[in-house]
Amino acid sequence: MLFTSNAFLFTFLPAVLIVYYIVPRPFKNLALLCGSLVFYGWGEPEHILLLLFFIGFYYCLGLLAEGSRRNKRATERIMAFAAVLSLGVFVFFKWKTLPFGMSFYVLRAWSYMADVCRGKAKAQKNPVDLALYIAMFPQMAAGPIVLYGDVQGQIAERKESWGRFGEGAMLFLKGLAEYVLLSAAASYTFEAVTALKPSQVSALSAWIGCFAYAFYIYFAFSGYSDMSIGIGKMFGFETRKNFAYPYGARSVTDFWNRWYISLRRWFQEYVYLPAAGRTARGMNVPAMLFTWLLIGLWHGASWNMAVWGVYFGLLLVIERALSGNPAGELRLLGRIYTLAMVIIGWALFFSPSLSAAFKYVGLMFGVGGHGFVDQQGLYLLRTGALMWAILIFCATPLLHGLYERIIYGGKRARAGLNCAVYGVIFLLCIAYLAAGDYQSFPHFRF
Amino acid sequence: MKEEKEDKRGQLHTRRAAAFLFLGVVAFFCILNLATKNYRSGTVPGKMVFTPVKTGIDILLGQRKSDGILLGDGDYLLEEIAAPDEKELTEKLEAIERFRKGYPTVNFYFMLVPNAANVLEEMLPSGAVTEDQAEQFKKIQERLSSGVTWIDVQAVLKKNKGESIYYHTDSRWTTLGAYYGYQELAASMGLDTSLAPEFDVYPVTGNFRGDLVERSGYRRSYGEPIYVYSMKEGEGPEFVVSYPEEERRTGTLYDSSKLDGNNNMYNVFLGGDSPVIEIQTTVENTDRLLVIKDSYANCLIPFLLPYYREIVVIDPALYTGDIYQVMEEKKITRVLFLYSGNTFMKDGHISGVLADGKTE
Repeated sequence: MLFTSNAFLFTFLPAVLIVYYIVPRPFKNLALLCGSLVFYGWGEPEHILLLLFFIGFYYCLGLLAEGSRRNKRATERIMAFAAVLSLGVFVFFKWKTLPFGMSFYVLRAWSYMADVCRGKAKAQKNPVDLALYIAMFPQMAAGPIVLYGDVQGQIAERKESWGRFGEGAMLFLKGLAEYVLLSAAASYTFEAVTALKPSQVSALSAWIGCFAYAFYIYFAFSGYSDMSIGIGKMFGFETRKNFAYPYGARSVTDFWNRWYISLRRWFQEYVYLPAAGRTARGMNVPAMLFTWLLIGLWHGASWNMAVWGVYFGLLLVIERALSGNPAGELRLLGRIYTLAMVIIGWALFFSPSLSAAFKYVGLMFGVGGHGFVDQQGLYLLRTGALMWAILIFCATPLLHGLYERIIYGGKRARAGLNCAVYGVIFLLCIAYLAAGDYQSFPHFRF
Repeated sequence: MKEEKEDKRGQLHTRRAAAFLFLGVVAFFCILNLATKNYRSGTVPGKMVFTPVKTGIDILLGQRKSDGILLGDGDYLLEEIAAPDEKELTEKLEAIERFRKGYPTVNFYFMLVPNAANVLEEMLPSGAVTEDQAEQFKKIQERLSSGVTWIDVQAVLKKNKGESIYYHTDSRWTTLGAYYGYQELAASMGLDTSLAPEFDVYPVTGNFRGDLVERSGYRRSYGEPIYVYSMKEGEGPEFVVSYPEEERRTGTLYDSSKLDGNNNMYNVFLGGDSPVIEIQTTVENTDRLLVIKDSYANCLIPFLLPYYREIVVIDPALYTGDIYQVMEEKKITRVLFLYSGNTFMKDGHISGVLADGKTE
């Protein structure tokens, strides 16, 4: 079930909210877990047993690891066993078709396991609580990948309030608008470019296509994350933000501190640091490249994803070696350099194969295409001008800052205006959802 | 300190208000879902109400295309020119050639009708670029063997593009467009047009809303006429139209029941697309025509009646029978392929229908 489907928005979500707020405190987690299982089983009931088995497996291993904590070798063995098995399951399904949500719940489960084995967290005695952490529905489809340590306290105890609910609702609507209005608009332009034959693509069109993809994937992911975090707040959970205006980054390092933050944190914590050794100072280059290779492969089991990952790994290594970014103090230059690197990265990312990716990058520099500027490119640019302006404006902190100042800047907060704005946004999203078919466009099956 | 407290209270108030707003809207649609039993569906209700809103905003933002349909000037909706899939195109052309070779005594004709986006180029949104259909046709003509007579309608349509030869809101040509097409066809087939009856030309509706409206969401309130060219009383041959699959026969080429309700009114011609339609006439010759076609042919076929003893019309997209059997049993003397450029490029059924039978 996608957040943008009618069944989710106007059937499932209200039903879960009602049940959740009616049942007494001790059963709230159970209610949320049941809701999550319904959410999961709605689209792919055949994989629900796999999920439950996975949770049960980790529950037992967690208890086992806790019991043998004094015995370091036993713990290591348990950890290795868990690692091999979950990696095996993951690789097996990645090679076939990945069941819904698996790339995310495997990472969450591993976060739990590693924390328990390393003594950073206690094993969860309550299977409902552990299952809720691994299978919580708002984070099932596309993250964020909340680390166990960040949420373990909240699962045991949290406080719901109207204020937090409202905050969550606003964040959810913001995310919905990003996803339904902005991301979709960008995807049309991207599809218009990719529908062309290579001989019809000028350098201008190729860059337009890449920029459109950049906006499409940013608003799709950031929107989905915001919706997820917003829903979490409705149930009393606080989650760290997952995106922080990444296209305003001044270096590639900075970009990866702002883009899908929870994913990078996970790989930092559970891949890079163990691989590099915690005592080492400075950057461990092989560990870094290895980590980024895995990040690439996590996004898709193909050569171009591997190259995409290593490409960023290398850029981070180079930036570190030059201590900071190559553009140094020049902020504007830094931004342009970062954007160019990221945009070229997206060409690797969205192409179906490595050779296609290289061809596309070639087109961006006028190789093998339809010259540098052509009528098609100008047409795309002109008809999309207003859309580009809106996309750029919404991808920077300017809009949100301005909005906050209008709503909260006066002597009294403008609650009415705020409601009107969010009401219009909600209706617009509903209009777009009702009019168009948005079921198919994001490819979240990493 | 006091100010800060008030500030916080203000923020809290704003958030609570937002919570109520959200729950209110969700509750409204939730109840709507329950009332209409739509709760399991993936699609948000209200398509009819919301589509104009979406289209309006899209147009405002500079979008001139929706689902492959361009919002052109002069109130024209234009289907984008489809690009051929090279492999499929080769298969189709080879299938046609194989089919032709099986009947050395039969005359074969091939008529590709350009789409509106090609002929009415200047109606495209300014600067819009589409595939070059003229170039596509040229290549196909070159690849067809000399045993198939190519009928060019592009020139005549371009010459008369000032007239209403395409519908504003439908992907097909008007009866006038088809009339021009028929004239080219008659010349190529060497038909004796002195036999042509006189026609009564009159609109059967003034309120036609074509298939492009539904697909694109544009121009929802636009209505236009459909004309029929009906043979004058006592002119032309007698005929009977049969639909073997439905076991139905009728004495008319037009189905006026398609003019009301929610039908696409273009289906008034021959009652819309059917797998096979057989038209027997009282024409005194032994010429029998097989038309393999898409819906562009529906409004052209009436013009061909005075020249053929029998016309068999097959729509490969729907047909499941054996076309070779039809060739034998009906003693077909001429075969006409009549397609619009876009359907011919996109529709793969044609090679399937021609591949069956004795070549296997």
